Amino acid sequence: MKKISWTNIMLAGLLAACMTACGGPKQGMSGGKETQVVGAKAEEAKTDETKTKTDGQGETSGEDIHIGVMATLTGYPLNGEHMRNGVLLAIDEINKNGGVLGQKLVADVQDCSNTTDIGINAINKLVSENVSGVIGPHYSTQGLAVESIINQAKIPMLVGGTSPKFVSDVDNDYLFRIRASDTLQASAAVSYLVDSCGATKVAILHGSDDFGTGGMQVATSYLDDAGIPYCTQSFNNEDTDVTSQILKCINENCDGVMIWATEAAYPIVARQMYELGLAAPTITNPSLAVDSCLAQLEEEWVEGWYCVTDFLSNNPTDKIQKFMKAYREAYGENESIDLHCAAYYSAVYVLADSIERAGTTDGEAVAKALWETKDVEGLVGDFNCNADGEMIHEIILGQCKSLAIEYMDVIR
Amino acid sequence: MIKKLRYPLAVVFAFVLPLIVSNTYYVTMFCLTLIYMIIAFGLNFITGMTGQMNLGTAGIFCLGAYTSALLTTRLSLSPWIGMAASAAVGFLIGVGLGYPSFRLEGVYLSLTTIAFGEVVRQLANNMTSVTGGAQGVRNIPPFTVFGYEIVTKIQNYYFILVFVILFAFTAYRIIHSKWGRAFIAIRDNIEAVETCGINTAHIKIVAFTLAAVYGCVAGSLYAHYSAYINASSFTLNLSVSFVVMILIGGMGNLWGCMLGAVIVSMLPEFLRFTGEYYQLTYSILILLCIVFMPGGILTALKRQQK
Amino acid sequence: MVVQLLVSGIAMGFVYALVSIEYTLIWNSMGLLNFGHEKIIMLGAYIYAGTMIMDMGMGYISGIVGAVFLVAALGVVVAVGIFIPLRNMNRLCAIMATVMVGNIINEAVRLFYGPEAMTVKGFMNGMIRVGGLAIARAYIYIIGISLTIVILLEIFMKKTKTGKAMRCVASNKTAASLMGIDVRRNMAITTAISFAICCILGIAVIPVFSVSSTMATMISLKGFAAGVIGSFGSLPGAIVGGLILGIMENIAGMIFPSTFKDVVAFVFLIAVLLVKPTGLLGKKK
Repeated sequence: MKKISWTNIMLAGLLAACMTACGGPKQGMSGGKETQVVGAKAEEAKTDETKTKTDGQGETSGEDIHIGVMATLTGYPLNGEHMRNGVLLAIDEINKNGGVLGQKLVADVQDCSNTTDIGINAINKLVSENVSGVIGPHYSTQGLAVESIINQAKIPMLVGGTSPKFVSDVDNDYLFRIRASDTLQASAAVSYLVDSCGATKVAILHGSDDFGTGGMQVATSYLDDAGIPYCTQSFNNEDTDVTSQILKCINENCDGVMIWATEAAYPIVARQMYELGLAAPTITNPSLAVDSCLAQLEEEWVEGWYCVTDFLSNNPTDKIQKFMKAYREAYGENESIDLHCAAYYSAVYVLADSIERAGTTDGEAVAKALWETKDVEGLVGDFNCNADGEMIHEIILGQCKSLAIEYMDVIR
Repeated sequence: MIKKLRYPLAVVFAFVLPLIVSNTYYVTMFCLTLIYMIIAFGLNFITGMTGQMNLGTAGIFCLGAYTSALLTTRLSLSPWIGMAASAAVGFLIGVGLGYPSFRLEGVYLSLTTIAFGEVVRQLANNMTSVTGGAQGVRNIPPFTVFGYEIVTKIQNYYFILVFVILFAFTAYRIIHSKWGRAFIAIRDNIEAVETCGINTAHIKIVAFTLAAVYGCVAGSLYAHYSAYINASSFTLNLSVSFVVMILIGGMGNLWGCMLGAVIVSMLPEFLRFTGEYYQLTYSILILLCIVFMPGGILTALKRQQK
Repeated sequence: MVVQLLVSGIAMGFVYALVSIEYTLIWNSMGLLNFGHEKIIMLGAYIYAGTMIMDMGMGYISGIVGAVFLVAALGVVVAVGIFIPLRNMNRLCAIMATVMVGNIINEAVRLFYGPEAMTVKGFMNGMIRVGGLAIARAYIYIIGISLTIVILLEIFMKKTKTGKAMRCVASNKTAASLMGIDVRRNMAITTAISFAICCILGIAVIPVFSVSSTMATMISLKGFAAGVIGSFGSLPGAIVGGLILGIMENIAGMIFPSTFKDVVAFVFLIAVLLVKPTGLLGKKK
């Protein structure tokens, strides 16, 4: 009996020690100052890999302006690295040109792992470190999960999520979208299929995730209005075989196909469509235009497909080619460059522009300036903020030829 | 002296904690940790004490969260009714999952529970008309206590803390009851238990039911606390994390469950300073912990004391 | 159309069967369920596509040999360092350790190869048309590889000394060690073979799934299911279970909304476990 009580005492002491040990650093960190230093250091270490001569070039003074970045660095689907690279490149350029309000921009990149809880932790960490604005997350579900936090903290957030829910379900003065919404993208896609390809029955193949179903809903409501029959087939992100979905589409005699899914689905869907002979005119979401996605496809699978996209790396315009050159200089010749790099690169410029106009890093003022954003030039179109917080109102239409997307038109 | 005081001390510490550390980032983490503690208490009955591997906890958690969330958002019922319904659902799945557990053992049971978790997640994700599909359930109303809404993180912290204390107390009583002894006996030597005339099937079902009720109530708390849920959170990875919690703290021990929940939910956050390597570091630390302290941290420390 | 579904069902069935053979080997030898196998399959595919083909510019066949050799070597390391010490421990610890090994491999692959998915162009691609049927050439290779592996394994287990020793260890470890069999060495060899099969499997599915961090998530879960449905721990059971599962989920995808086919597969697994826990081919206890 005596022995047991001793171990119990030990246990109690240990647990207390553990908990206070956990409490210790928290206390220090909650001061805020310390973490900023740590964050800045981590950031320096990170940017050192890619940037060489940042320090000393920008004539900046005083405190730095911190920008939070929520990137999917771990977890699935992974695109945080491109997003981070784009952001860091833009920050580097801005700092070289004298920074914002005479101060240097510093990125605070946090992984959100594409999981709700980790995302919430990441945004809370950023908020607790008093960032002036948050860039990301890329996925709508994450954006929806964290939007109330930034609303309370009064910090503007520039998300790349395109779900129509941001408009229909959310009333948030601090939420801005720096990519064309699915409402625009999906209706542009499906209307092209109907109007220009003359589809009389549309097959919609979509991922069962938030993104895929959102696009499907936009498209079906468009088709309902236009009185055109359609059939929808969905697949899970983990699916490795979509034979039954495609066969159902073939059975329905569809003469137009719209695919709305994340990159990972394309190698499987495109291949099986080709094999099973679903050869109708096809239009897709921007994922097809992502280089790493195209690199996994065979030419005959996707020849002649159309896609709507934010960004094309072979777009000959000056600003795009200049960006491509700068990106390759910073990260290496063979780096693939996609819309994630470009969209968030532009987002930094938008945020910097509004901080400059607001004259302060105070969240409320910056958000107010963001609402007034007008004609800021970006790689994914010009930024003009509307009443819903949407900044981009144009989308590129392209066609796939020999595994490259050729620019066709801009839809506004 | 200290032995008698350790429970009140822990409670006092828990109550004071958010006053010392009031940063939202940490309070949010504490809230989640508390919710995970409830699940760990529950899982402890099955995996920690009875020794049955359950890898479907995320499914239980998911069902609890969705039950409460859908009842309150679709039918505008009070969150309290939602929670009661969640507990009832927990009871049902507990019996349902418990039934196979007396026919199946070891790997078979863990595969059944994995399958259960996957089925729940996929249904939540794909039955769009019922669950809202991948877009999840938004604007879940908060709990109200005496007319006050539990809205802020600090309020939520104390609200959940009350539940944790309640559930810890219940768990403590169960562990030290005849059920608790039967659970451990089943883990250690099931034949001996059977020859003693104890109905092992019944005991296993009790363990599963307790775990499922704990998990579902935790799910309900989670839904109303975070106000937004979607199916992508409730993956097999989450189930694995719950098992890691009770494994790493010390199996069959409430303090171990608490310590495990603290480690699993907070360690990755504290490793954020390692940048891209934080998940890698976390996995390596946990692996080392499992290999070198197989009975959990508390057991290892206890052994060292001797 | 049903025939077309059968074709892809059979092909997926063989993939599941290979997965279940691979973990059955470790299970029989050590009583350990390798929950990290999903990541090993992925690792095999990455080593083949990323290192052997892209970086070193090897040919398809020499690349396969190199990748399989590397992954098998990793298998020995993991077995000696983690699996063998863990085998006598609480089963829960052992399973969680394999999960963590999987997570470590996953993160290491992401850091080393980068986050982008990749593929090997021109590798086992193309298709064959038979009447109205379209059959991906990769499916034929997968079926061929699976059958070859099963036959080779059977011969290895029944004819060679090492194989016989492995079977002995699988049925009774104490007796095996009393007979003078080096149980630890035997387990290391088994793990190496199992990892090698993972690697071959990972390579074989490159043309159909591409190489990405989650390429094997579903097939590894379904592989578990296939093993249980057939008969846990037996090689013929694995193939039968895999085929039943593959065909059934494809037919289910035709009847129900297609996204529910995984649900059908898992519900079927639970049903089989409840009705006949030893699997369809298993003997009554």
